[in-house]
Amino acid sequence: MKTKTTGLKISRLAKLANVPINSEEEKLYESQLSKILEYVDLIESVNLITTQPTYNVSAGKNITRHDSVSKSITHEKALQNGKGNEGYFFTEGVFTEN
Amino acid sequence: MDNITALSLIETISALKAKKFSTKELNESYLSRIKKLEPILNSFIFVNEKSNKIPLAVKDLIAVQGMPMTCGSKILESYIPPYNATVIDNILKNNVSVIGKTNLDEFAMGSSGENSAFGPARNPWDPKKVPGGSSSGSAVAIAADLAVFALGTDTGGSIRQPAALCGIVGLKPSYGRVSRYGAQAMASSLDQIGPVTKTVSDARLVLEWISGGDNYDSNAISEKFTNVRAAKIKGLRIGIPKEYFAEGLNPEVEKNVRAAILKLENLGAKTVEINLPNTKYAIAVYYLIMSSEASSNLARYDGIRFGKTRELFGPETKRRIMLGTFALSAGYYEDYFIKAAKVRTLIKQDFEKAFEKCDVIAGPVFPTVAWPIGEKISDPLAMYLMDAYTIPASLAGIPALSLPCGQVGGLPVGLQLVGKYMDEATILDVAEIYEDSTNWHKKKPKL
Repeated sequence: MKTKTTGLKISRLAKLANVPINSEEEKLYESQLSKILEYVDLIESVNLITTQPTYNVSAGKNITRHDSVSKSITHEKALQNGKGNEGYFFTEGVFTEN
Repeated sequence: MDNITALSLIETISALKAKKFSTKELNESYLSRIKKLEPILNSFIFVNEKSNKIPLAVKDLIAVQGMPMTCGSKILESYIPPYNATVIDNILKNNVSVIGKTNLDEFAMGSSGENSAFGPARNPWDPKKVPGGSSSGSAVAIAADLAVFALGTDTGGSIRQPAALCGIVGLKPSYGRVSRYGAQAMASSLDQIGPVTKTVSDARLVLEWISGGDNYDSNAISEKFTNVRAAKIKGLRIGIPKEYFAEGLNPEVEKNVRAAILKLENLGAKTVEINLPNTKYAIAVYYLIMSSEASSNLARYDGIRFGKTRELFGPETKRRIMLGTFALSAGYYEDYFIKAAKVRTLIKQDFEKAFEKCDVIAGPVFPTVAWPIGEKISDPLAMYLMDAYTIPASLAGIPALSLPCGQVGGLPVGLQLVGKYMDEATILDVAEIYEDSTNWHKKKPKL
């Protein structure tokens, strides 16, 4: 298992997670997350050769529904919390130059 | 009628039927109490002055159409859901109205209530102390009689912990018992919505109301929970896990919890010591799986369709998103996320083996009673370690309930009862028998 210090570059991680942080926060989170990762390394010692992972503890399987159109919320309601008008969400340009 | 606001849900329904007071008087009493106590307790983020039926307080990450939903975060300060959560649609059919949205740790991330962007809710037993989290406001509102009943969510203990610290009842249903549609997702394989109530019989009724599937949560079973109290405690086997009574548990809290278990024995139950050997890994497993799932669930906050931009996340939220992103990233995924999921299997199997020897498991909820606001906030890991007793039941998907069983220095202690998958009935029965023979649930904070 890779240790806590390899790969934990907070600036890179913050970018990957899309969580903007400043340099003060970077130092604080580096020390806090190192400590947390050191703790979770506890599971490294568990013998798991024959164990299957559990991703879902519910009893259901393959829940499907009929492929038919059903009522949803109105266009106005869907837009009410976003920025923009004329029936669209406005967002930053994807292809514009920064 | 005196003290309308001290009545439980069942007592309120009965009194309304007998026309002892009207819903108008009921809401006036609760709203006036909210106005008087909220400056001290800060349990509501939004109050609905137009509440006109049996008042329900709802944790502010469960969608109520037309009412603000902040999730305790600056990002969603002005968000208004255009729909109701399934649990709200179900509950409103029973002469209920939402009196307000309650304070919480931001995006349900916390065990104390201190991670709210709107200031912490305060423990009504001592307002300088934490109420527990993340359903902090819901627990405070019930303990202080600011609503008849409330809803919270529990991912690793977030209903049970504030219920224990505030001296009330909180139930985390089995995973899949209640539809999660309309509750902001934290960790999708762990989240459950559940009742936060003044009594166990209230919790039973609310579970009936909110349970059952819909076309949105594909992990929710379709059948509703229905349960008539069976009231059989003679010969019932209560498992006592030695791992829950080890180092780290405050001796006074232990004394109260053991006294409660002795009470159950005096009422006819048998105790048997059980082992849950993988308990020591539960916190590590939880924080890896929960953070990973939460990092994915919070990716939706891009400031486009709703909400403001991501630099406004609070510190705990940023920490957990980064932790989860790390655990899911290339080169670390097998060692962290998958490994945690395998250890989760072992934890689930611990319970399955234990339930061959017992019918319910009893233990503490929290290692301590409520502590001063601000005391533990600068050590996130120390806060995570407080979740030791509540996390395992969440990882296994089994139901667990907290009810008041004592006090230390005037601060409440909770007894946790854990049941088999989909067996809320037995833990509710045992809890109700205990409640009927004791008076802890009748104690109210002096406010």
